[in-house]
Amino acid sequence: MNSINKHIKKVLFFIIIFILIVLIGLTSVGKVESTNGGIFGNIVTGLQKVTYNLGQTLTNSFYSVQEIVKMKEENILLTETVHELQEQVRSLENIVNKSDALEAEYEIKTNLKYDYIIGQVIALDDSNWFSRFTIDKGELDGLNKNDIVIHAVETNNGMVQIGLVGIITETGSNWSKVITLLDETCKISYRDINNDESGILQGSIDGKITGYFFNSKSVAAQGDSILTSGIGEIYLPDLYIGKVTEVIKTTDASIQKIIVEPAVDFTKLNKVFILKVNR
Amino acid sequence: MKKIGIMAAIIIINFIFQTSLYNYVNIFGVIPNISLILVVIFAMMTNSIVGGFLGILTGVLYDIMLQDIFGVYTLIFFIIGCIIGSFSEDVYRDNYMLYGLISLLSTIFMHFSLFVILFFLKYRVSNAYYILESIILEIVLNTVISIVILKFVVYIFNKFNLK
Repeated sequence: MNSINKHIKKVLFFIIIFILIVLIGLTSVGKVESTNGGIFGNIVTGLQKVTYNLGQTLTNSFYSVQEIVKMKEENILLTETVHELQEQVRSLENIVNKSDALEAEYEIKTNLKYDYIIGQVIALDDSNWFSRFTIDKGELDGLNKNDIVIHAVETNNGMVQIGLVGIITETGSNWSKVITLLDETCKISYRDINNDESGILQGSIDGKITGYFFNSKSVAAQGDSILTSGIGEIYLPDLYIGKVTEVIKTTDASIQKIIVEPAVDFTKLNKVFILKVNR
Repeated sequence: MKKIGIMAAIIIINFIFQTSLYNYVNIFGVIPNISLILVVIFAMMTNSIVGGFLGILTGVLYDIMLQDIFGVYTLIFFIIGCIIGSFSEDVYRDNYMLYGLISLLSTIFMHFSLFVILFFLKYRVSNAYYILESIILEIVLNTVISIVILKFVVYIFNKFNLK
């Protein structure tokens, strides 16, 4: 009797493993939609929000005591930077105004306003292999799959973007899953502002974003700014991604690999902006 | 039955903490995987069926709440829970060092299986070389923390008058 029991257990063990492997295969190619947990998912995300906020309040209060001294110095420094930047903007506007084509483009860019929703990060995948998180807004707030998530600040003049964060891959009724630029599965078509060439960026397991140009002859330099190009119609054009930190010549001599440092600090992400796009 | 219920409750509560609160208490940027430690400890305390069940529960939580591909974590946690559960009845369960050792082996197993599964999912796993450092740190942390968690679990079971 005991040996039969053991036998059944073994068979069951392998059947479950087999089923799971089939499920991995089917969901990875998108044949079967992964579930979002229904009511259970809503309850769990609700609780995650509470604990995430709790952790944040605790660490914030801890650091705020530590940083009170630093704040004054930082304040002076920032005021100086603001003056410097204002001067820069003035001179650039001056240049832009001298050319009609540039002025027209400038008008379009400054008037380009997307509807956005502010979401809060409530859970992170802490494993080293993936880079994804969950936010507290979902279908009920009008979010859809493939909506763009960016980091930004709200000012009196509306939203000012800091950088691209990632894309929504799945929505629950009041929560959604986001994959970031750093994740292996995230591929973005980009444009280098400095030489106006485009290419593809991809995250990787080690958290570095690497990319290559479509045109093998294009030359990138360290410090070039990288924007989304909008090719492929998933990402909106002209969202800031980051700066090139390294240009690597691959063994395949004609192709240059670039490494991009994202503008967003993913470890300190809390509030994110989700752009609503009519597709 | 009550015991399994409490174990499942601890796993769910821990999952919520693991994904949200623990991110603030990382050590050198690494967070000990307490979900895994709990599966290991509970499987050691019970048998292969309960171990497998709790493994699936933990994995499903991860897969539904965070991942797009369903089954990666479920598969790994299920195998860990089942295998540990199946031999736990033949070992001396009061040896704390054994829990540490098995946590160590399970963490290695988990990362190795992730490597293999992601390889078949066409990830560029050769880059895993760069995260080796944090994986090793996680293995050490898991080993040490498993003993603390074990004491905590034993304390809770005593409170509920469970063996």
